[in-house]
Amino acid sequence: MLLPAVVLLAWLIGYPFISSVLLSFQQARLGRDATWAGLDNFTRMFADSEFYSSMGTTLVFAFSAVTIELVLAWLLALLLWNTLKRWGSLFRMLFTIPMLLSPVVVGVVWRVLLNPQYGWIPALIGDQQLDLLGTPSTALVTMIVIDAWQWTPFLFLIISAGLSGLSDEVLEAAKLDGATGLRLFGQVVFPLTLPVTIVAILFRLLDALKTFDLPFNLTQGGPGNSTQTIAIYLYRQAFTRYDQGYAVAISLIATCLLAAIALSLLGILRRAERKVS
Amino acid sequence: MNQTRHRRRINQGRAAAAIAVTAVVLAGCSTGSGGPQQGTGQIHVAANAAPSHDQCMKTVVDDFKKNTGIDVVVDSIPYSALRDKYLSGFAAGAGDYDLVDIAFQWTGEFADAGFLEPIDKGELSGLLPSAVDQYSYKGKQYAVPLQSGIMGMFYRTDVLQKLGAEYPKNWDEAEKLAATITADPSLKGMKPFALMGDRSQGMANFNSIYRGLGGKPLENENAEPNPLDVSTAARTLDLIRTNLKEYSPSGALAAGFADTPPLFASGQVAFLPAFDASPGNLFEQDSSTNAVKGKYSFAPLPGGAGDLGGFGLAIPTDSKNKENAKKFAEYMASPEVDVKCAANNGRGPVRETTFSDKSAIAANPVLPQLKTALEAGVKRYTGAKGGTLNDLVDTYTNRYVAGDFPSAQAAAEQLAAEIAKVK
Repeated sequence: MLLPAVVLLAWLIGYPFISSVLLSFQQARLGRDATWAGLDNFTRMFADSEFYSSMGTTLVFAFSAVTIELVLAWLLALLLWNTLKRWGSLFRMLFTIPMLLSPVVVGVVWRVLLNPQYGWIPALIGDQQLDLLGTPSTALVTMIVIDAWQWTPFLFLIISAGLSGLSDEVLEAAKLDGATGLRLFGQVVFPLTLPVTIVAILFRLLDALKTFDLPFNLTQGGPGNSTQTIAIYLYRQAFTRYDQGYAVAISLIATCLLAAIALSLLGILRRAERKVS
Repeated sequence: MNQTRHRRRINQGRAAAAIAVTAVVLAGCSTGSGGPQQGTGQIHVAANAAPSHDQCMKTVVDDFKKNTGIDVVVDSIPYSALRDKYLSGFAAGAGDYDLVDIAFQWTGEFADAGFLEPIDKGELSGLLPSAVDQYSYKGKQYAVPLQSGIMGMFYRTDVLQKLGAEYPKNWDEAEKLAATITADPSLKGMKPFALMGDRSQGMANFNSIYRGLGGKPLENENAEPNPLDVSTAARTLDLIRTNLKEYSPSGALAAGFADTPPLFASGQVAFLPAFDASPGNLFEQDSSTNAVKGKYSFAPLPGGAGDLGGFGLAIPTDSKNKENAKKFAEYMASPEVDVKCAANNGRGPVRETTFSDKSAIAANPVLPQLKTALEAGVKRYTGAKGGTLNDLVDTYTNRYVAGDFPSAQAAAEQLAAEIAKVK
């Protein structure tokens, strides 16, 4: 009974994966049959400084953005949980607006907002020499801030749901025992919501490591290579230089590296969760 | 009784499921609306979504049909999606389009891969030689020019008059003039240039300045890359960096086609290196924000060389209406259509006679100067590896300006080495 479904899944997932692995060992030119290249694509990649710089940019972007988003999401969730409980639904609705926008729209809009000549932000600050996206030292930081603006609501919603699920009896008991403020948060609230936090971090981190839309529409990976993520680099190899074998080799190695990083992080967080419980 | 009703319901459910599956399968098997009809008097054209391309075509298709009986369906596609759409369509052999609007730099790539049909060059007499040559590869012609393009300089004639200066003949004179403009307090903070620093414009800037400094052609007659002259390339990169960082307004490093013309129109800069098609009719508008109407002209870039641009109409090899497609491509380059689209849609003319047409000049007063610039235009990489080579120059130019290299010499050496590796 299950055999047709298994065969279909194997074909849908397995066939593209095996084809990709085979293509990574070939040189594929536009309009020509691919030729066998052995390990050439991989040796070329491991000698390519742009591959390493793109990976580095991706890791810095992903970990910085997720950290900022996590801190902000927790602050917002706690604020609505305690102080602004009455306005919770309204604020939740407002906070989720950035998350609903397409990354393409976000990139284009922020590019306009930050333009030194006609953008609102340099005008509001009063400095039309301020070129955050055109300066290598500030372009990546700006991209991280924009990503945090868009995706903090995502973490906020998950963490809010976790906080809503906390048992009132446990909280009351803790308060009766004298736990208040930071102590209540550190010893009761946070440990109890750690599984939810881990899920939120994992979802967001895996997404951030694959980021393409935002840098592509905001900076095209520039200025220089300062905002070139591995996804942008791989796109350039595949569709501008049409070096598809090399692009697939990059994608395979990048996927393995990023998966290893994500799984290691998950392991660390699980160990922390066990320690706390 | 209940069992009969139950069995009836099951059978009805099975029938509904079968109908649904059949509908899905039939929808999947049906051809898309973009597919051409084999052997009929209808052709499908993929056109860049820009006034001088798709809009120009749509204004003439009725006349074309009246004269030939051929129905033309124009699909408008944004430039950013054009190349990817063509590549996926060609690779699949779908035959969706009979005529495709291609950027000149794709000619060699597509022709070498066997995606384009060669056409008879003899039928293109009367067209600008520099425009026709953009679509030739290894001695064969692969497209009819649709729009000419050249990287030149829009400049403020009143500013030069005020300074008692002449238009710079070479880049040394241009840099001296830029320093004078920057230092002159009466020009109220006007910047000398509005250069496009966006990564995708690196090659246009590089090719124009490199050739203007005496650099040799980037490729030989077989469309293979020539070795790069490192010292000229280094000087080129330095000039681009200085002009972007010191002599252009803030934001120049990320500026593209749409960002720089308004800077010139609002009077913030004295010189605008740009493709002639970029400003559209902006500089001729009657508005309070237009500071340049009647006070500007156009000339070849200092050094005399400008990066040639343009678009052409090519016939894919999988087209099923090649003859009709060819007729429409030639019609789009006919004298009457060339004038009409130049006057009404801002198209860069492809016929020599259009440059002296009164209605075309009324819409674009710098047309005569544009013709001079086109005659001195220089080709970038247009061979089979054009995409890779142009991207290398874009990348290294942008990286040098962003400070990724310790010196222009180091950047030029690495760029030359990378170009030499491309086979």
